[in-house]
Amino acid sequence: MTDLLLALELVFDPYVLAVIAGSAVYGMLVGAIPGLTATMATALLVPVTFFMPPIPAVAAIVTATAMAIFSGDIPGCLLRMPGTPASAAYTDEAYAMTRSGRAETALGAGLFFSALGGLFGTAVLIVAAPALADFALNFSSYEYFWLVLLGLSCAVFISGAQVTKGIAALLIGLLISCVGLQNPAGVPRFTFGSVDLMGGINAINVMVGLFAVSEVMRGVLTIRQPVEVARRPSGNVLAGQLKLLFTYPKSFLRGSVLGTVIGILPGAGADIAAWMSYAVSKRFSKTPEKFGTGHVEGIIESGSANNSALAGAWVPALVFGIPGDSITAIAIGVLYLKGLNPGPTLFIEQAPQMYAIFLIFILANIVMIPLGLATIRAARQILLLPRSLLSPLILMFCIVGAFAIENSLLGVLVILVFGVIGFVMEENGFPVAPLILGLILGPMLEDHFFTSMIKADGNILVFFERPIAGVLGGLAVVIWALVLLAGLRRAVTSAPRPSAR
Amino acid sequence: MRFNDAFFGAVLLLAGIAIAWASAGHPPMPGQAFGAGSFPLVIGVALAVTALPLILSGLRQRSPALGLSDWARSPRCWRDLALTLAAPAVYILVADLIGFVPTAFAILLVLAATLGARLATATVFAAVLAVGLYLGFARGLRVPLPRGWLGLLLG
Repeated sequence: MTDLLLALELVFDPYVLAVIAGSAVYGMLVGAIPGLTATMATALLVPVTFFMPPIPAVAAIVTATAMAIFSGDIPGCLLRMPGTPASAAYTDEAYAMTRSGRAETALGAGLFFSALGGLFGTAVLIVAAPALADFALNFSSYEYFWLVLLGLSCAVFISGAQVTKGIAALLIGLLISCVGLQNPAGVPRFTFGSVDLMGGINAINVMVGLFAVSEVMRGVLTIRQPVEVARRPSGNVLAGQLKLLFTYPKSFLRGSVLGTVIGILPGAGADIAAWMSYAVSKRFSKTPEKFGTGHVEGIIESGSANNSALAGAWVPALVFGIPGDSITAIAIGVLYLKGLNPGPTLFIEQAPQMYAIFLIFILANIVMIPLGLATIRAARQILLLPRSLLSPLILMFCIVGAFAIENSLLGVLVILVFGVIGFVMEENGFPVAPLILGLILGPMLEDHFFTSMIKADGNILVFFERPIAGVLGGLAVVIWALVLLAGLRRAVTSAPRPSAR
Repeated sequence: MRFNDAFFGAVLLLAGIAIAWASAGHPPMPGQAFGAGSFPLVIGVALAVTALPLILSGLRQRSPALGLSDWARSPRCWRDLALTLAAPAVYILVADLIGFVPTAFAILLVLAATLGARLATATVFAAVLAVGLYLGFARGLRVPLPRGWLGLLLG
């Protein structure tokens, strides 16, 4: 109880509230502008959070991303251009609703169910994270090794792209994490004699490059495409939303649950949650033929899913330091910087801080409604902001941010190189999420492997001895065996057969 | 710019072999069978192995080695892209010499003007932002942005 009171004190502090307000506006703006993603917003926020104490820093990230994931719906609905990838799943549906004069309902559903879905995800976070942390106190290096391996596998198989490309991306990420002095043996690897490289390649800079710089590159290439002027929705956006909740309660619940679960799975975040949940909605709907013509059911389900995924992603992030999505990947970096090292002991030693984070989630999702309404009103102005100024602004911000992280020009080089890599990867179907996970989890994987091997004195069977480790290890082996078998079978059956023409 | 999968496969295969070869040279940890090179060795080998199905599927697809997307046909797009990529490079080369504010101003002005903003707007924008970023990051967040000539002026 005292922890909760301490947490309230931490959160309802004028500075923290001001940060929440500021990042909420920032998040709304960034989400509403196509070409600026929520992950990019987080990456750009990192240097600003440097001198903030831990709670406002986390508050900034949580609030900004919650807002951004909703406000990506706005240009999707009005202009058929999703503001963030998470809104892409139902952009066509929302736009169809706009065309039939029901933009207010579409936007209202997006707003209302985003907030509700976010609150649902937060509830799961509040219950699940401490419970999981309790369970994780039993974990030793063996369990962590298998868990990290499973998390990495998850990213590869859920990414939706070709598995070989996913594995390649994962391996590249693992490789990048090998650069530097930070390894169990303490031997410099791949540093090519450079002192800068001995510190390794900073994960945040890699993500800035992959998500922000490559987006800027893409934006620059499409800058001359003419932008339609958005019609401003004139009616009452929230009218009738409660009625929708009672008309489609299952959609909301199913979307929120699916979204939270996908958020919890490492490497899969709001965008995948939205796509999967839209597909599920259509599959289980009583009127699937209406999907695509301007039917609100899919929007309710996916809108809840993508916001609940945001909260779900923090479960593995806080308990294990394993990012649930790319946003928490960046957030974990910030947590380490602030001394809030993720792990089960976080919930015991810094319980007020954890409760504070939960409170911030609740606050952010509540604030979303009035702020979202204001953003919808201002949509026309926001969408007319010139890209010719925005792109250089973001690029310059990326450059300064990259330099600021380690006060080294290597950071600027990293964002340049990974901007190009991210661009090429996207164009050629290589998923980025496995790379990010490999980068972040590589050191964890190696450390736990070495620790375990030293403890086991080189005997691999010990990896399966402890009960939890045995289960996780068995699961990992089974999953990889199944995938390899499926891959082999596909290779054999699709081998060129003599065709009878 | 769509490259054929086989191209990526080939690159990854070579990279995997190179990495495995480079890692094998690392000495093992005292008393253990493995060392700093073990992890990269496994990754290098795995990369080379993963590259093989990519090469096969790429060759089977028979798509062109390099397929140009729409934007690749427009020289203006290439110019915009080149300038965007040049910005961080220019910063790395020049910022320490002439200072953050002039570098940022130049980068912002050139990019904004090339991307379509009116020259007057771009100049004001670049000036405001260059100074604003400097004040915000160097004074506000105490990031040691290079002062260059400006430092000599301001003392």
